[in-house]
Amino acid sequence: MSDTNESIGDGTKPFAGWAKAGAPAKRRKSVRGRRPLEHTTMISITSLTDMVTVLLVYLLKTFATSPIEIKDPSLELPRSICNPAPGSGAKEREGGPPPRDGCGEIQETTIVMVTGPKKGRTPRIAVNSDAILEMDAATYRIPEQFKDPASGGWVITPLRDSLKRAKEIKEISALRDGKPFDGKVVILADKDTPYRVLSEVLVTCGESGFADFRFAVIKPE
Amino acid sequence: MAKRKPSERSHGAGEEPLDLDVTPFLNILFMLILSILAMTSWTQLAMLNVAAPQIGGGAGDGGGVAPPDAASALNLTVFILKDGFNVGASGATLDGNSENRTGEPLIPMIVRNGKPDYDYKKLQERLIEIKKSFIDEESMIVSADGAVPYDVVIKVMDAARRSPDGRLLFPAVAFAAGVVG
Repeated sequence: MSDTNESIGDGTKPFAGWAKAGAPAKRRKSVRGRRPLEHTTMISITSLTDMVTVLLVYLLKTFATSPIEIKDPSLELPRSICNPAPGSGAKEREGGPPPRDGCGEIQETTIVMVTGPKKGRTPRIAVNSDAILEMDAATYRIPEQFKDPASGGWVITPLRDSLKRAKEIKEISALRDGKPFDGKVVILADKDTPYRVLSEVLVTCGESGFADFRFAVIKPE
Repeated sequence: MAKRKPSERSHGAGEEPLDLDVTPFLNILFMLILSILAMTSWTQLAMLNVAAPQIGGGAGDGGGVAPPDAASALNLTVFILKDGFNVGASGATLDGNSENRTGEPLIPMIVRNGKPDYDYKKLQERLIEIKKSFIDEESMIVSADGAVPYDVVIKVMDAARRSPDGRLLFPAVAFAAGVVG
């Protein structure tokens, strides 16, 4: 046991710490009959394990997922003071009335995304993350060729076609669940989107059968 | 080997205490922490409910804009102009002219942090005043200049939702498409 070679090991055992260089075996024997040091000098990782476990528990507690993830850097949502009551989203999903102050929890539904001109990108409109059209980068408006002249320039034709397809899919899944089609659509728009573009998007959504608009915003911390 | 009592088993001469190797366990924990950090969504989202916009809403007369609630008599409309807010109701629009400030909006912009910004506080004070006379009214129409950014619209909706003491003001917001009076 007091043999120095044993502490270094012959490779068959886990590393048990370095033997003290130059420390004679005699001296170790004199330490009041305790076990030899070379077996106890291993760095104690118990405290580290404790810390990591506590960290893990904390992270699991704060772990939050969102039904809508924003990964596009050119989309910066506006901040709002809207702080929905916890559980209001679940109540609404079960067929309850929407919250009275118009401030609800985020839900998974059809998404219309309007990105901004951030990082030199052209502003785009997308439905359920499929890009539909690009706006005019210079004027930050929707080019006239995409608009339906019959509507007085308010309905965006490609967006309407895409939303109608999305509606058909939603109607089939609603039929399967035995619920009526709710016409909900979430608008994820960049905070710099001009009101004209926003109202054109809203008019087109209404025209395509989605009349229950929701604006996605960032909750206060 | 002769059978020993359980109490004697681990105290035999020459037996090493068993050290559990926790390194692989730590590795797994670190990987878990990393994956949880990557999966957590840090920005928490909420949704604001709004009603459909009406195409070609009239500004001064309010004839083309219908509130979501047909029984609503007030027809409160907030106009977001490039230089401030006007408030309209049932055909009449309050602007600077009605307070002897010709050519100015009712609530002009203020300078905040060195930049001109909309005066949401003053708008909220106005809305609180209106709410006092129309306690049951909850709907409001927002009409804005075509160039007004979305952020301002959201802030107007925030100002119109609740008063600072937590009472509901005009949370049911509808949009009039792009016509400003």
